[in-house]
Amino acid sequence: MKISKRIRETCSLGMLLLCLIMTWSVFLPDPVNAQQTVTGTVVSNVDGAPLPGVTVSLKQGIANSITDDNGYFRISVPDGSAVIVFAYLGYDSQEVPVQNRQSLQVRLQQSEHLIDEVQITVPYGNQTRRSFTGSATTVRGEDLADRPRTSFQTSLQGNVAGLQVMESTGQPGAAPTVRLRGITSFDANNAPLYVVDGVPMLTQNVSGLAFSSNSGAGINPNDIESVTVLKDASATSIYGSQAANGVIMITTKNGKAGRTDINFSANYGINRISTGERNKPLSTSEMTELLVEGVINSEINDALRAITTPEAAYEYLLNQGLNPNINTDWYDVIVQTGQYQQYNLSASGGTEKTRFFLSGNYYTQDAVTKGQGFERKTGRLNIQHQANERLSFNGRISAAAQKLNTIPGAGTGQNPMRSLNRLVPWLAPYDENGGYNMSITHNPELVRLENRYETNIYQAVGNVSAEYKLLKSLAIESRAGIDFSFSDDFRYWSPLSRDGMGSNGRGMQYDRTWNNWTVTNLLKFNEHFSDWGINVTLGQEASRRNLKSVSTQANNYVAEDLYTLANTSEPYIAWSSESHASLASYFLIGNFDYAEKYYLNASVRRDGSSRFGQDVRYGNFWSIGLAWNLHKEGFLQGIDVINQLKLRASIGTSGNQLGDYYGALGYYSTNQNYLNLPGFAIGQIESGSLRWERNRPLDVGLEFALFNNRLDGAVDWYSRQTSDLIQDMPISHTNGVTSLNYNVGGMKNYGVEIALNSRNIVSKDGQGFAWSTNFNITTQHNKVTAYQDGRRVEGRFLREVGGDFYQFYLREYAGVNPQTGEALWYTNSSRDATTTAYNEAAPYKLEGKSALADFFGGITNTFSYKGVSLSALVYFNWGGSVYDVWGQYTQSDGSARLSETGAISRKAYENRWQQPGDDAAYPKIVYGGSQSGLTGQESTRFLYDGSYIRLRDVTLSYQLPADQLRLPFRSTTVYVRGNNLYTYVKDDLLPFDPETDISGLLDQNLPIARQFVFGINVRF
Amino acid sequence: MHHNPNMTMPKPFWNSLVLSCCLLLGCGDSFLDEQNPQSVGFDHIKDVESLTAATTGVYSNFNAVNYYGRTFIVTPELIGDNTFISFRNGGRYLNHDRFAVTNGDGAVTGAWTAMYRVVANANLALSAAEAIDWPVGQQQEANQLVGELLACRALAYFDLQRFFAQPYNFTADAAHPGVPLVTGHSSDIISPSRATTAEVYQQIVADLLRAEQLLQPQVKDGYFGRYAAQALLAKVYLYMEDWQNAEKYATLVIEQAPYSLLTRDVYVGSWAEKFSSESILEIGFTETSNNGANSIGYLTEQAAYGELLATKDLYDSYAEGDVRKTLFEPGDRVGGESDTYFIRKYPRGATTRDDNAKVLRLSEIYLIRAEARAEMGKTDASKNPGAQEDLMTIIHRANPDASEVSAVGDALVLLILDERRRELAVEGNRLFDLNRKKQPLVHRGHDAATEYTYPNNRFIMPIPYSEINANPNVEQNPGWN
Repeated sequence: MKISKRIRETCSLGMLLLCLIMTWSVFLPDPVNAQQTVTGTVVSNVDGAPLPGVTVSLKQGIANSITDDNGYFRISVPDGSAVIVFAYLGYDSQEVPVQNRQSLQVRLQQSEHLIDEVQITVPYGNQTRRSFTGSATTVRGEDLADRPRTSFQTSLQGNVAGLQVMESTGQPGAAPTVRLRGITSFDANNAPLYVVDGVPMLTQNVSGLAFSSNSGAGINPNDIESVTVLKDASATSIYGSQAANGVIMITTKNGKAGRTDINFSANYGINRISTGERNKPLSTSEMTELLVEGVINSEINDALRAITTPEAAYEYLLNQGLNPNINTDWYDVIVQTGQYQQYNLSASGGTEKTRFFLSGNYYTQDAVTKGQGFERKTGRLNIQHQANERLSFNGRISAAAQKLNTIPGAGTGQNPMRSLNRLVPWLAPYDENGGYNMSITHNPELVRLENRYETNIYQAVGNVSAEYKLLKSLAIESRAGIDFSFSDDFRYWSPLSRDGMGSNGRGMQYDRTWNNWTVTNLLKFNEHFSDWGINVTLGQEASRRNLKSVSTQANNYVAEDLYTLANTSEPYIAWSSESHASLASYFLIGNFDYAEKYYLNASVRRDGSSRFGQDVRYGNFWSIGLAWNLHKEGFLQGIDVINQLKLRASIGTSGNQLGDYYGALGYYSTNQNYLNLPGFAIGQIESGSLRWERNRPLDVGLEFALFNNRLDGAVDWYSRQTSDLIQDMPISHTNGVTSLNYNVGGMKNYGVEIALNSRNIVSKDGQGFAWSTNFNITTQHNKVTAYQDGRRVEGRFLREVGGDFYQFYLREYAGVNPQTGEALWYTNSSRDATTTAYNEAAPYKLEGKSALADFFGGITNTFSYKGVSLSALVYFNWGGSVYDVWGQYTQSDGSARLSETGAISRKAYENRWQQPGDDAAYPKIVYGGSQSGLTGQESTRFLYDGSYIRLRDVTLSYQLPADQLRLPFRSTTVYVRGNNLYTYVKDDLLPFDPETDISGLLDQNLPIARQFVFGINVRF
Repeated sequence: MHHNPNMTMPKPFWNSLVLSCCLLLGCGDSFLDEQNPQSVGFDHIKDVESLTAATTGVYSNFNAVNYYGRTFIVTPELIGDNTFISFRNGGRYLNHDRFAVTNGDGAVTGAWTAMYRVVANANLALSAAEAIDWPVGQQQEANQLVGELLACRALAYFDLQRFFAQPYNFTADAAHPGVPLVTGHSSDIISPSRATTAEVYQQIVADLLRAEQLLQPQVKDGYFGRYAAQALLAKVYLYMEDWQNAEKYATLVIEQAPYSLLTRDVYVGSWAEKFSSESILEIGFTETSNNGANSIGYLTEQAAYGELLATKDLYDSYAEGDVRKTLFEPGDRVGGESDTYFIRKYPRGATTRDDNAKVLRLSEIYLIRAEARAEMGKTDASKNPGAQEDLMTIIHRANPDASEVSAVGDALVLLILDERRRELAVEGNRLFDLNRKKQPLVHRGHDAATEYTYPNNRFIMPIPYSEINANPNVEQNPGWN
């Protein structure tokens, strides 16, 4: 097999290179004979202060060095005619001829074109913003550190144009839904690719049983130097088959030569449900009021027809089992004020040869409901070593332990939010003797206190790399990364619980091991020929994902408070499975520039994936990006207002693999059993011609800096056209399976992104009043451009060519008949007629009702004066509808009678029809009725406007005057921070917080928290 | 440092080389060729062992929640007059309870899927078995497996017909739509149209007649043997109103098979047991292989969900002294209806959740023969005493004090129908019996009742939307959109 052989050869070559680099380090002599040493110091032109971390290198030759904390440097030069180059971020580079001097004093000029010089992380390297032809947003580590959020991903919300971050559950430690510039795929992955220090990382729910977990929460946000979100082809196509949804590059911190920097921070805070007051459960007397009305309205049998007075109705309800003497506020039982704590300690520093960063973090947060929470411990060591002038090593490793308590969510009976929304107030969690009320199917107190829902995730993510400079302009680099996680889920169903009753307790132990690795080999060429610059990288990469799952369950516990399965007598389940996927890639990246005016970035990549059939498993991807730095042109030179003006455009392709590792194969599944004998049955039918999903991003952008760099920003128009979208399409069930993967459709996402950063008021000396504003907004449009058969209804959505992917398709609720109080539905989309019979209403496409937001973004204002700083981030998400999946249960209109889960929502209480003439939003209550309020009567009655504006992050900080207070620290900052302080919800009838995932479905998940935090940062 | 070329290589070099070789293994020939480690290929069936595993896989589909696991037992009783869903419920089967099933109903769709999974897997295994040249020593074992596969397929088609098509006697020549009929295996994706009911029944009978020849007479609990195939054949003929053959096969089973009716004193207790002496075919569950909280018993036992309750009408249909009455326990449902009746036919639901589904019992075979004879008695009076005797066998077993039956003709047939209701209550027959006997249906809840007349489009289920959506050739049942 030719292809495989080639892969093996390439892989071998790569591994040999890595080994050779390591080996050379041991027995190759320094290639350059040091003949002379030059020392000196580098200072800033602004205040004359020494500049640490300045790169000092030879113009001809490969020797380099870095200034220490005092701006001091030492470098070997071949002879007295050498020229030394000094480079430092934010300052103009300076070339200084040695002229036989042994000591130099260098004064660097602060750069006028600050924005231009900002380094951004790109795949397989770094670029300055000036040379970059793509669209990217960089978020600094300080905007992620010390936040009361479990992962860096949630802190990106509102900070990055084009990036939508949605928390569909407030469960701490859960993975948020992250979408860049819309949605690209029907069924395959829609999440961006996360690359940590150059190595792709699996960022998702990695555990087997936890309701939600997030391997991304294993990265300590305090360790992050920067997060760069790469949005268009220019930057993403190089990741080929993995890049269809954009790329998020995470760069962790590293030390600087010189003085060792030690940082300590501590945070403490409390959290409480953010929008809980919107829908407090009804009390027994309020529910009774509704039910009495319902009994009077009810005519379902003779007994009820005869009841016409409130007294008789009340009597009837008492006979049916209503207990007026109990009034449980389930809100108090279930909701809590939780605590949050975070401690972080880091040290960084090093010498010219070896630099390091070391950190440890502890984080703990309770959920807004009792019994759920999150805890994390992380440690990191980053180390960089310059063995000699040619050879350098880089090693980064982080270890994390996450612990989650996650009671199942969504529709499960154990879900505390379900209990909160559905349990009637005349049931108490405890009986008179303090025992559990066993008449409640899933008593939330029993579930919380007797059962166990523990998940532990242990992670190690890191990489080792070595780079060897063959020539000044030619280097080879090899990198090997691992992304390891082990999740240990334990469930215990107490014999008291509904689930564990029949088996006298059940213990469940699920282990999942993810062992993913990536090996990359690069050959890098970088040279300038007069005005021409060329930078080419040739690469090869191989990666494999390996998942092994093991689970075991046992019944019949010997005693209470013993949980391990050794305490049981009946083994119940023993099971394991494995799955693997591999990817082999080759790529070439080229960056060219002329006179720092014209830039061309181009890339090609070829990926082979094990997830596709042999004939179609290779895909080719490419990109071209162009940038024109207009401000370098003569015709703009005289205009002082413009500091920077860059026009750029990029186009390319990327792909998306099949989500399922074996989704193209046909096979018998061997997991069948009958009467404890093993068997197999049709598992999947082969779809061998299945191809990659193809994505073609197009981006045109204008970047600018004006008014002495006081205002800068970027405007981008983007379009992403995807084709060959894979969907698990239904096939006739007579085939033995119900669906098969096909390439069925295409989709287009387009919109505009605007990002503006304004320094409204600046303080000359850094001590006076300053005010800056950062603003970003993104519009998004989604359109299905191709679809098998043109149109298909999937659940509550219509997928139709020309429409958007999350277009709601439901029966339309037409309100209430003011005379009778009966619910009405439109019979069809013409809306000419209404019906009181739900069955006679036809569902149809609801024009303009989509789950996708029209636009979203954030605005941050920062004010500072002397050591005091106040910043506030407001996040907005506007347009888009949300659907309350469980509204059909909580707005039961009396049909649920006295059912334990028959609680009626406060919104229904406030807006029901009561008497003829009422112009009410919701129908009358009818005890045992079936005209409205039945489950299954899904309609736009439960569809709401999902627009909201949230005061997301407010921080007031004060940097103590260290010298005045004679503190033994270099600096000390104290701060208070509020998270999700206030939320404006446009739709008054919406009972819940509108934030949910991209599909707009509100699924009874934990609401997010409002948090108040106090913190202190100390730098030694 | 100077390197001497004659020197042996320094240690790190060898270490690196070893490391690189190890890592190289990860990039072997098959780097991009991954196979699902939890699977075998479709060409796997080659011998008795693999055919046995394939047959086991076919049976396992009967275990599905939406087939004999729960739905196919619950819904024919719920749509009928025997059971209803408590107002304290978890939202299961509410549409069936309210006679308001939709074409997107998950339980109905699941039943369709599970039934066709039996068919498709049996077809694939049968085509593999036919291609094998069996060694003489394995022929009998192979025959037994092929017989079981045919009988499984026949049962699935019979159930598909009962659930999704009007009964055989709905039109004079049974030319009305049946279900799609697939008997072979194709490697292409198929979208078959519906066969006529006559064609499907013809296939069911052909499969069972062939199975009868291939199967051994030994009873193997939980699997088809020869007598189970004959018992099913009797029931199929009854549905086809082929009274002679129904009587013939019922008699064969009653007289030749090693089953015996349980006595009155052990009858109630037998519902907590598996594979009793009168059990002809049960779909088996075990303590480690069951549907857990989705099992039938979990839906009926009060210590579990317990939301499926018996109607007062059913309870009142049993005479005092009828032992079967004790399988319905009067009581107040905690947090639910007062004065209601708990179903106790699936008592393991509260503990191990592994109640077997009783598909064919000897008592039903007596009632099949009674009905066949009573129908023949309308033109041949000599059949009536036999019919009355078979009916009394079942009545007296439960209630020795019951008086003899003297009715004949339609009156006798209706008595037998009532007795089927009592004997087979909550076993998944009621709706089908009413429909094939062209009876109106009184849909009952706790305190309300609605009558639906025969014929009725809603006495059969809609072809699931997901099938209609995927298969342009399949036609929906009338009255369902």
